[in-house]
Amino acid sequence: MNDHSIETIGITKEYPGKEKPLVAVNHTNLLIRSGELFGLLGPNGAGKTTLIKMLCTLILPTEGTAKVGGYDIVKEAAKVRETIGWLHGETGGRALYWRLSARDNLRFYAYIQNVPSDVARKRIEALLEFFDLKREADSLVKDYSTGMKVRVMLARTLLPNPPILLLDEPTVGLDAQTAIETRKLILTLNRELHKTILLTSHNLYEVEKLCERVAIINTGKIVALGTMDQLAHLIHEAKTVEVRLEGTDGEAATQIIQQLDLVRRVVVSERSGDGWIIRAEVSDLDSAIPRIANALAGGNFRIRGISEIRPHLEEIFVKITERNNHG
Amino acid sequence: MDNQLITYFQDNVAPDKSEVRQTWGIFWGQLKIFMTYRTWVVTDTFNTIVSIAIYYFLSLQVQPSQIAASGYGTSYLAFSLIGIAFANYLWFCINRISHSMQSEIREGTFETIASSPIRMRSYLFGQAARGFLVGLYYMVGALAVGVYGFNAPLHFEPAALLTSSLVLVFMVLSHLGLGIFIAGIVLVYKQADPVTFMVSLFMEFFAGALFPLQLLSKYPPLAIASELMPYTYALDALRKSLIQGATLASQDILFDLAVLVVYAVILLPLGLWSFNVGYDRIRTEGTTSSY
Repeated sequence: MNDHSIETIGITKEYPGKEKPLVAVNHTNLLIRSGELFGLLGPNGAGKTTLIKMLCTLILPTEGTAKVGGYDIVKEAAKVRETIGWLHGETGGRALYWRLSARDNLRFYAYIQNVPSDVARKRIEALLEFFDLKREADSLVKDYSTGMKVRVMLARTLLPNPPILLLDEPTVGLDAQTAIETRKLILTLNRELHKTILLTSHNLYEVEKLCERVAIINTGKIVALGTMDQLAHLIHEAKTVEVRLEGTDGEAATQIIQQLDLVRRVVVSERSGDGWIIRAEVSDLDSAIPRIANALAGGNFRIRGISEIRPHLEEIFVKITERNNHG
Repeated sequence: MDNQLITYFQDNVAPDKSEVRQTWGIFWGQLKIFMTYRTWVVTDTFNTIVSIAIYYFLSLQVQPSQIAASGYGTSYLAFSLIGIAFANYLWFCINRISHSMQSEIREGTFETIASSPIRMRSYLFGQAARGFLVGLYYMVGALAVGVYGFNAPLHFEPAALLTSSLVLVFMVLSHLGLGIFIAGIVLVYKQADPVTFMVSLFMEFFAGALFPLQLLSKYPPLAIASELMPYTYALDALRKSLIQGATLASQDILFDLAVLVVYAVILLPLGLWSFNVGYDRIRTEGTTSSY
């Protein structure tokens, strides 16, 4: 496998529309490194599922192509299918055989995924155990809860041990405890088994916690891509510093901070319990923190803490998609 | 991930790409699913027995001389029993592929299959194999009810059974391409019931499942259509072996078998090709999960 497990090259998908074609994915270029845990975000209808289905070889691109595991999705579709594990969590277990048990679903999948029988037997038992399905392993899936069905789907995706995992909403429908365990599993798969993982989720907290880099797709185009820091920088020209003081007289401290030349504006200055919080946008974070600290120390203010405030992915996502929607 | 689990995913295991194993996997899974529909199996068994009873009472109204002229003995019950039991069997095998395809698409499992490394022909043959086995249950049941319940005069000697079994295999192979073609229609249009109904009706009519084909000789276009149906040759061979006791030594049986082989050689690749055309079309349209 080369340096990039997933590489899309001007990939485009147009569906026929009544008046003009509907462009679901628009000349998208994306490079996902081997062993990377990569997040793909986008509002509903942004093109995420179409892009993933093209990578799974289920949809043929109108223009451009992609390579998955070094194989072309159009010319070498069979090789691509041997390389990927795809989970479509949003189906809520619809993609399982409901009239088979969890164990039989996994056995069936082992046959079609070319997993040798002796290996499959051991893996199936280990996966049933891990996903807490052992007790109900021989009951029909139709009688399972949504969470159990998603766990069977996760087990099925892992069974052939593919190097590349395309996880579309892997924790949807799971209870909190299982969702936490699943996130841990995703991290382990990435860090210990070096799986390349493309993760999409509406749970932005999950993406923020797990992914090294994130791409935001909107109306078929990648509108932002980078690490959390890089994405944060896209929406905030100025960085924000938070200062936590002891005592309740923070107004004088606010005035001192406001007078510093690298402080653009104070956005928050308020009492917080038995202390005071001040948040200020600054132009240069590296210089700002020591200079604020020095200025406040000179005024005999007792500082509890001073740190950078990073915007959450949710804020980044909303601002970038809004900016993109309004041209 | 606990240590025990991780050990099972650290080996680089060579995949087992055997197509026979893939086909077996589909057959095994589909058969297991079928066996969960117990009520359906019981109802269908009951329907089979009732339909044989209907042909028994119908046979009481038909003069033996009319059947004798066709060269298949004198019992209308034996004549129609073979016509219907084997037509149903054939249709069960053929229909299974498109029906399963329809339900796979509706239930979302088709995308799982299509994104896996299984070869589509293994998938189709596995589906068909399930149809052959389950269909066999109804066919043997229908023949047993006809023979032991209503005294239909059929030859069950080893040579006749061997001959009819061979005809059965080639009958299925000669029609398999048609079943795969219809499954391709289901992929694209998501529905093929009117087509399958029409084809089964034509097949039963033109092959003479319920009446001697001599009746069509007055209508040349219908007689030609009848000669173009592979089921006509299958039915002729089956009736000759099971009603008259003809074996593979018979020229007529060998001719019928040769025609079925020709149809199999032509229709099977055509069916697979048309299915692939349909499969590529839904991948282009992005409708692998639409129904």
